[in-house]
Amino acid sequence: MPDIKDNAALQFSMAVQRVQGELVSQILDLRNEGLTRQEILLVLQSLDMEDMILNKLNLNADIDNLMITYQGVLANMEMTGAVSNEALTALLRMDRANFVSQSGVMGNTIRSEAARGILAGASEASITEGILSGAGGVIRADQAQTLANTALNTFERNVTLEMAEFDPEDATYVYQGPVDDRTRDICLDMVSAGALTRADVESDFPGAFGDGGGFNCRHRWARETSVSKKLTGSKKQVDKFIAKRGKSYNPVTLQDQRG
Amino acid sequence: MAKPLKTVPTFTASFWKRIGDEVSDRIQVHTKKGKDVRDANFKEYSPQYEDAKSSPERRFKRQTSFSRKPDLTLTGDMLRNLQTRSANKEGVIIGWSGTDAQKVQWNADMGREITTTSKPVTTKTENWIDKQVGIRIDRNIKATNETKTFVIG
Repeated sequence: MPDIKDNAALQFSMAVQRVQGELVSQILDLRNEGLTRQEILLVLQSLDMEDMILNKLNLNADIDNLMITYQGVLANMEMTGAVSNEALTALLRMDRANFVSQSGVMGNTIRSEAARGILAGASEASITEGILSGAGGVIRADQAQTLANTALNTFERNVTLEMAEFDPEDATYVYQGPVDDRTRDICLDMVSAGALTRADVESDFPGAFGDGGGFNCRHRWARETSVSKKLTGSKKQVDKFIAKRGKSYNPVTLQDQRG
Repeated sequence: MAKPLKTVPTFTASFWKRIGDEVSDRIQVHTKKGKDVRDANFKEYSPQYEDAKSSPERRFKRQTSFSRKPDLTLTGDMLRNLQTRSANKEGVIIGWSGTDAQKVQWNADMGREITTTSKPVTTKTENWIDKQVGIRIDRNIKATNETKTFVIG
């Protein structure tokens, strides 16, 4: 069954790959045009990488396409309930700004890596291969796909989260989702935390109320109900699971992950 | 001060949101037991899918259920996506979004109905909702209580 989010994420990763390839090739062309290493460095230093990537190599159009998919995500939701158009537009703009700024970071990293390669006298092939395989922290195609996919999922979650505004302050939430060998330690920690108020969640696990455990997380904070226990693991179950798996236990919050 | 009688059938968005959350969880639990909205067992999976799903080698990405009995759960994403979507003082809407909504429809097309237009929830859940509404109305009635004098004749 086609998933508009998966398709959009794939298209975006292909666009990122194309842009990276073209950018590297343009930088290497400077050497082919007979410029000295010093001249190349001067040219590279003067480039506005964000503008280069977004406008000259037209990643802007691909980000726009991704944003159209965001609207598709909304259209697929039965209702957006209490969420106002202004709030939705703000969420959309924030995510667009994120993609734009990440494009700039990507361009700068590629520039640095290419400059290093040129200074070291590396071959064109090895510079290109190094960059496209993620050297120096350049985003790889699969990472771009995960990035776009996660952003779309988070957007959908944010819209749903707005509904939590209807709950009283003392409403409690439990962390729903599986406890198995793929569950992150931080998710195990949140499952065993039991019922918490939203304020407690924000204080004990910053960022997790909206994002869960991070990329591809299968869990979410849900309002505690009379049948919550049937959908959520208990501390006892989690402790038993950790003891059985025999691996060290190191729960890291989203905030810690983001450094 | 007592409230006027016209407030008796008044509800709040917060009340309906709680009903929506509770009903969403109840549907999840009921579905995982392998029962449809009419309390009947779900139609069996095809033998090929049943074998693939129950294989100990985890044949599907992010798989969480290995049950041979149809529980409409593979990764759990679809059932977890059932949430309260909108609430106001008139009522609540619960449902699925995006791909998960398509999965629910596909399951219904295959004869495994979690909910239908004519019967959105199980009879047990219907009764529970009625009870909650009754409790709220009783509470509202109490808030209108005061000595009333009727002059007859």
